[in-house]
Amino acid sequence: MSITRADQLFALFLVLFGFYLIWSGFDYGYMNGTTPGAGFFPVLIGGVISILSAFNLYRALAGREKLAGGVAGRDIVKIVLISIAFVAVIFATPFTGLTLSVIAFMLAAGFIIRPSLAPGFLLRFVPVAILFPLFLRVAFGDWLRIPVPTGPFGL
Amino acid sequence: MEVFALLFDGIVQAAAPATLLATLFGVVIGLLIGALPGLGPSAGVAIMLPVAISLGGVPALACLAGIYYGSMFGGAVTSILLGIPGDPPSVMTIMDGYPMAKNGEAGRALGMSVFASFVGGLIGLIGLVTLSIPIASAALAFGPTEMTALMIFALSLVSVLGGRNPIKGFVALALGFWVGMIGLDPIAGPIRFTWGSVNLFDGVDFSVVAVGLFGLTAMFLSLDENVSGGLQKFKFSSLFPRIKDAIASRVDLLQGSITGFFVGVLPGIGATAATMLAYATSKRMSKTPEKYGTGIVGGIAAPEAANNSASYAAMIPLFTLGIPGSATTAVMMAGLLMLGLQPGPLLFVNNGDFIWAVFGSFWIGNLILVFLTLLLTPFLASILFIATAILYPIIFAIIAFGVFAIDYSMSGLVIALVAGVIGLVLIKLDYPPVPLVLGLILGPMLERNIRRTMIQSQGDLMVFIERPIALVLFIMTILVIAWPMVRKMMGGKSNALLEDSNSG
Repeated sequence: MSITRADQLFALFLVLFGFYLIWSGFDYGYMNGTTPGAGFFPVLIGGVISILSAFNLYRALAGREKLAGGVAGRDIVKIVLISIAFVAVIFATPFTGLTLSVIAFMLAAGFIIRPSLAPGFLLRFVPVAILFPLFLRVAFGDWLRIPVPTGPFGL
Repeated sequence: MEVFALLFDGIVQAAAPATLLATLFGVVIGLLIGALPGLGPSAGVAIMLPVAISLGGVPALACLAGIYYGSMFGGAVTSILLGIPGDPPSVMTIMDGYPMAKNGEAGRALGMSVFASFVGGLIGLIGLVTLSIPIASAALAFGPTEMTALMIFALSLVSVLGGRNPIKGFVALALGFWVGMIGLDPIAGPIRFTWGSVNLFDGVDFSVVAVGLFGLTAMFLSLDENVSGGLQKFKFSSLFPRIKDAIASRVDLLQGSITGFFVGVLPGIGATAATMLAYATSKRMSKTPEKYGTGIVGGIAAPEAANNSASYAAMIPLFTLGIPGSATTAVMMAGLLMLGLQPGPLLFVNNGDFIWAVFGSFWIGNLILVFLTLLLTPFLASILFIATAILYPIIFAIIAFGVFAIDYSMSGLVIALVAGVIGLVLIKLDYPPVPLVLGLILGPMLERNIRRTMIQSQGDLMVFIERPIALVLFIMTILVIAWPMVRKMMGGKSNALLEDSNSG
C-alpha cells in the first residue's frame, strides 16, 4: 500500500472516529441543565476531528498532500516482530517474572535488529542482555523498592 | 536587600557538612531517578521520603529538594541521548536535544541543558526569595475562569508547534484532547472511552504515552539505521559543552526562566505546560523558527530553563500558603509535616532560620548539579556510540521496568506500545506528535476549568470577559493569533510600496 493511500485511509478513519466521539458524547450527556455535561467536550472534539479530517481527506484525494517516503517492507517486519516480542513480555511476565521475560526480550530484540551470529557481536551482546535486566531488577526492586513481578529463582 | 542577607546566612548554614552531604546525596539520587523513563520527581521524592526524613532538620529537606531538581535535570539526559522523556517536563527537550545528539553533538546539548537548568534555577530561586508573598497572593486570584483563559492563551502560543500542514497539527491536538478524556469524568462522574477496561478508569498516564510516542517511535523509525553495528562518527570535542552556546542563547534562557517561573507558580499547571510555553515563545521570537526541531541550542535553552525555574516557583504556594501546587510539592509538604513544620504564612515567622537554610541549600544544590553533570557529560554522551543492536534492547529493557514502575501494572506497557505504533503512523503521515502531547496535558485542564466556570456562573458565558485577568489573557490570545496576519499584511504593503517606488 502506498503512503498516499495510507494517508487517505487514515483521514477517512479519523472522519468516522470523529462521528463515533460525537455519538458517544451525546450518550454521556451533552448538557446538564445550563452547564456542559460529560459529553460536551467529546462532541466538540469529535466535530473538530471529523471536519478537519474531511478536509485532509479531500486534500489527499486531490493529490495536494505530498508525503515523503513510506516504511520499507524489511523495516515493517522488524517493527512487527519487536512489537510481538514486546507483547510477549506483557503476557509472560505474570508467569516468568519481569526480569526473565525482559532477558528473553532483549535477546530476541537484538537478533531482530541485527540477525547475526558473528562471535564479536555475540560476545558483547549476550552478556549485556543477561546482566542488564539483572541490574535493573536490583535497581528497581531493591534500591527503589518497586514491587517488580517475580518468577522462578526470585527473579 | 534584607532577603539577600537572609539568603546569604542560609547559604552559610547550608554549607555545613551534614547538609552539604544530604544535598549531594539528593542530587545524585535525583539525577539517576530522573534519567529512568517513567520515574519523575514526584515518584523520586515519594520513594526517598522515608530515607530523607531520617536525616532530620535542614538536611532532610535539602535532600528532598535535591532529589526534586536533580530529577528535573536527569529527565533531560534520556531526552537528549535517547529521545525518551525521563519525566513529563523534559518532553520539549527532545525536540532539539535528540536531533543534536543524532548529529554527534550530544555533549553540546547536555552542556546547554545543564547551563539552562542552572540559570533557570537561579532565576527561580531569586524569584522564590524576593517575590514569594505577593506572587502567592496573585496566584490565588486564579480561579477556573482565569485558568480557562490561561489555557486558551497557552494553546494560542503553542500553535506554532504544529508541523508542515497546520490542519494535521490541529487534528493531532484534538486527538490529544480525546486521549485526555479517557477514564472517569472528574466532574459529572461517568466513565468515558474505557471500553470496559478497568485499567483505563484512572485515565491514560501522560508519561506512558510520552515514552511510547517519542521513545518507541524514535526507535522504530531508526531501525534501518546503523544496524550493522558501526559506531557513530564523532569528534572528541563534541562530548563537551560550549560556553558560547550559553551566551548566544541568553534571550532564550531569560525568557524560559521567566515563563517557567510565572507558569510554575500557578497551582495545578505544572512545569510541563511551562516548558511547552517557553519553547513555543522561543520559536515565535526567533528569526529562524524553521530551524526549531532540527537541533538548535535555543530549543534546549528555553524549555530547560523553564523547567527548573518552574520547580522553584512551585514551592512558593507550598511555603507561603501551605498549598501544594503539584504532586511533588504535595509529597514535600508531607515531608515538612513529618518534620513538625506547618507550611503557611507563619512558617517564615516561626521557622525563619530553617527556611532560609533550606533556600541556601537550593542554591548550593544547583551548583553541585552543574559541576556533577559537567563532569559526567562526556561519559553520558558516549552512550550514543554503543551499537544500535545492543543499545536498543537496553532501552527497551529500561522502558519495560520504568513504565511498570509508574503504576505497578503491565497495562502501561500496552499503552506505551500502542502509543509507539500510533506515533510511527502519525509521523509517516505527517501528523506532528507534539500537539497530541500538548492536547493530552492541556485538554483535561481546559475541560475541567471551562466546566467549573460554567457551573459557577450557571451557564452565563459573559463571566469570561467580566473578570479582569481573564479578559487580559483573552485579549493577549487575540493579539497572538492576529499578529502573524497583521505582520503578513504589513509585509505585503511594504513590499507593494517598495515595488511602487522602484517602478516610479
